[in-house]
Amino acid sequence: MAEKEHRTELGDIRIANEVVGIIAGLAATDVEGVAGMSGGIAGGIAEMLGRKNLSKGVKVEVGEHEAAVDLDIIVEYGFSIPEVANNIQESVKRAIETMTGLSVVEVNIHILGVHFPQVEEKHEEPPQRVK
Amino acid sequence: MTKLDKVIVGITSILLIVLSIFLALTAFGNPVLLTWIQDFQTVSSVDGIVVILIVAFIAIYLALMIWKTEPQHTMICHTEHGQVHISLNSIKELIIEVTSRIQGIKNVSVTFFNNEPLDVKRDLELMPDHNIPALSESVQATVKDYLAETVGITVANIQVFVKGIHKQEKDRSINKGGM
Repeated sequence: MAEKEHRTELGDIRIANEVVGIIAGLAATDVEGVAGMSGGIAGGIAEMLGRKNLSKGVKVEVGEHEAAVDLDIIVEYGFSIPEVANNIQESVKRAIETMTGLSVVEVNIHILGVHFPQVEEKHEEPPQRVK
Repeated sequence: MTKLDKVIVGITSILLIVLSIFLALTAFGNPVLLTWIQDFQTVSSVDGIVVILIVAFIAIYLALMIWKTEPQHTMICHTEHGQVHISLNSIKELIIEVTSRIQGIKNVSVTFFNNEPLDVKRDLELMPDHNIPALSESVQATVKDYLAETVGITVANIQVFVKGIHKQEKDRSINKGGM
């Protein structure tokens, strides 16, 4: 697995690509208007098997000093897509740069679907006719 | 569907036709298929292995075709941090949702003729007692504004095709309650 390596006086610090992916995934799902990440069939099967995949729908390319991220997103109905996408890009870039020291050159967003909230039917009990 | 997909589907259909012919012959008393299968054990098991490998390959290939996803068509917007790809499926879902929320409109379907600039055609049914041109214009304006606001794209052309009048199911229940 490719990983980011950083050398200090005391030794090496290595960050796995998956960690960068998890950081990106968590930062993206925290943004308002994001319903979730789209992980495809493999991600769905992994979740069905009870494996929580925090980097679902995230592809990262990590170099020595730079990183590029691709995110597959499902947006919530009613939110402005450009605004949500911009917030995700900023949030992901900030999170990766702060936590790993990598410079994020690109955050590409793929909007793959829209989540429509289910309208809950109110089951009101009929008023009692006889008291 | 790729060329190889078409070839595999073609071979499968030919094999199925041949198999059905042999099954029909067997049903009418011709033992050619049964003899051939028995020969696998006695004369040449290589034939059997070849057939099994071909059938297994076709079966696996067809199964994988189910999982294969078609590349999604997207609209691309460039921002300072990268690109935003919006799938046409998402835009379609949004158009259907927004159009269906307009009073008097039912059964909306959307077709895209062109990605850039976006060219949309919508087939829909209207409820009775609505002015068709007025409602169609309202649909065009609503969708154009909605896509500009929510998706950030300008639609070049919105065609509306009113394919019918939605039949309302009238409550024909008769109150049979007596005295």
